[in-house]
Amino acid sequence: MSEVTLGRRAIDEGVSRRNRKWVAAWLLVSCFMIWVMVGIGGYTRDSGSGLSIMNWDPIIGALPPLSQAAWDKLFALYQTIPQYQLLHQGMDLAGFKTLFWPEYFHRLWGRLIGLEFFVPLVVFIVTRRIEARLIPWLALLFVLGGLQGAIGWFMVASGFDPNSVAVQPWRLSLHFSFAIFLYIAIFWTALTVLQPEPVKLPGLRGLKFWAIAALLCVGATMFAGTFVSGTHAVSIFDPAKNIGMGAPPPGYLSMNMFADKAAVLFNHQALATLTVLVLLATVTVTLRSQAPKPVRDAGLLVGALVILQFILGVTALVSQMFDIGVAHQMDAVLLLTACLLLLHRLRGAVR
Amino acid sequence: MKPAGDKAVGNWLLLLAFMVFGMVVGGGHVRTIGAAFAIQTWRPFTGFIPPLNDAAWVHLFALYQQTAQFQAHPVTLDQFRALFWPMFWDRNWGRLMALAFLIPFAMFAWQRRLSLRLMVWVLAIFLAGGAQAAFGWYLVRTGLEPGMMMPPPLWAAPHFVTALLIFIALIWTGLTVKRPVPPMVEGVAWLRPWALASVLLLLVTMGFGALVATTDAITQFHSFPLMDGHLVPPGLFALHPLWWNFFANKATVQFFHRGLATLTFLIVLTTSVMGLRGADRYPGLRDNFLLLAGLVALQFILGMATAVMGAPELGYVHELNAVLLLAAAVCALHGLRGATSRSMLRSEFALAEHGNDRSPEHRRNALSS
Repeated sequence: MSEVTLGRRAIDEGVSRRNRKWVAAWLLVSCFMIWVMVGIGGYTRDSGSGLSIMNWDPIIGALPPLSQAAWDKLFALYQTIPQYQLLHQGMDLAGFKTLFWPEYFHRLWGRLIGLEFFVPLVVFIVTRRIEARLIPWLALLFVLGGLQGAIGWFMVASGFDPNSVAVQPWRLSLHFSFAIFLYIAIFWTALTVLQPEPVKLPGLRGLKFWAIAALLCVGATMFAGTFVSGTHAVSIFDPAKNIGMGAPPPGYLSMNMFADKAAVLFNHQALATLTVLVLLATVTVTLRSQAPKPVRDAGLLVGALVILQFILGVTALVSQMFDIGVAHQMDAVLLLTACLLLLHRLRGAVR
Repeated sequence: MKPAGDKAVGNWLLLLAFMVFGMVVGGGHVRTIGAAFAIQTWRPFTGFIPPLNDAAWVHLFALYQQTAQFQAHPVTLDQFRALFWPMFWDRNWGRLMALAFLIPFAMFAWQRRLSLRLMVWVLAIFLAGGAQAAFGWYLVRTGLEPGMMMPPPLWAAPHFVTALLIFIALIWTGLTVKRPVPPMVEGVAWLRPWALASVLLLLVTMGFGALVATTDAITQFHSFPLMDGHLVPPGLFALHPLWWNFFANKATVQFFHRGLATLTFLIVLTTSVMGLRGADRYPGLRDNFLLLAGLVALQFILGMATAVMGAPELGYVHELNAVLLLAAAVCALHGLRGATSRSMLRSEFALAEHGNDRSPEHRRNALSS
């Protein structure tokens, strides 16, 4: 690997290939932790636990209640919110604990990600294992990670409104979308650290456009999916009344696209179907092209994951099992990852 | 057989395979609308003539009136006609297949284009087709047994599987006649057992699919992935003896069809992915694996939708796609006939690079370059 520095894509002389592998490994571990976080968050949402902790103490909140008094205090606080009064009237402390732990663990995992990101960042900077131009970017990502925690609290706070038993869907969508933005930024950075110079691939520019289209489609469908989970739109599925079977609901055009369950579900389904078609076309074009092995393998990964994702999506709808919804959400991130990998490996595609 | 392959003979056999697919289209339709017992006569040679006057219709209708199906659900003559015609066309399609076999066969034999071995083999396939027709007639006759509302699964499902075996034999023979010498596919011999497993699993899963269709198991368990809230439905082996559950217990046949289908889906998809990676330099085989992956994904989704909606019409589409999927798997297995193992590839490469010089030093150079 050449260490020559060329123009904008300069690589520090001191940053060896080995150091770059360390940095990339750290960033990929961060991605993995965010992926797990998406799963924990999905579980928290679908189990209805998100509103169980009424305070936000970024530092000392890492400790769970340690005494009976602390538990009683938290539980008393929970009893003041509308969700308790409307949904869980008469719940005992044991019931409250089943709501508490997922939300607590979700927040704890967020703190862990913060540590996992911050400590190696400092170590790598001090030991000069990291390119100088990456430092401000990664520091910004760390700050944005903190902002994501604040967005999470901003979302939870909306669930305490009068007569509210869940958070506002648009805030949930913001929280998820911002997580995905951070994931994309860190994953792309990791790939670029591993492979700073794009490999020139003549004749594959058309394929690159397919990969861009695939990524945009996946992003749009995931965004629409956040509103399905935020409004619990799968609950209106009813084959007997032809609701949620893929046809636009009656009066679709006059509906609220982000609040009406029927419209929200249809939007996600229609975008998902389009995405499946675009992705399968992308995979077919990739596999039939003269692309080198790494590109083809990324294409295969996209193909396998999109099939799995469609099956999981249909299953989540028809079974109404929330575990499958969580799996669908985690597979969405994997599919997005595969699309990013494909596009990154096609960076050097030219006409 | 010419070493280069006989394109016309091969295409003739592939056309017959395609006609078997057409037969599944007709047979599946007959089953879906419940018309299997409509024609209670069997005249292999003269039956191609439909009833031409009222008396003939009345006669046929009277024969149908002896079935338990009619006695439980009486129909008018007009409704009987709607049952008659699909069955009539399905049978005539079989007669057309016999002609599509016999006329080209005689022609090719006259031109001495068929080796003795091939002649004996395709005649055996033809006889199997004839036996399949008689088997079909037996199914129709069961309609006269008391209380028989549709063909018994114990025989109707094997009727489908034997059709598939004929289908596979025709495809395999047709492809082999077109390319008697297998084209070499370097380094993927290990894929052959996977492709073979795919074909066998597809056959078994389709056999259970036929049992689901013929036991009317589609009327139960309209949920996925659980079966009415259970991973394993209660009463899985409620009937005695044990084997009878596989022909009469809706929970059993649907459970096994679902389980086998999932396993088959995973194996076929894995095979396709490995085929796409291993055979990427062979466009024909590569596209074959791509088709296989696409069809198996579609098949799984169709199966899910059929189960959830409990829709026999969708089940019919699912059945037809299964046959196409099987054809794609058989073609892939056939395309791997000339697959070589990786070690062979290396030694041949070394030989090609350095002629007959087999000194260890030269070999090392060849392998490292």
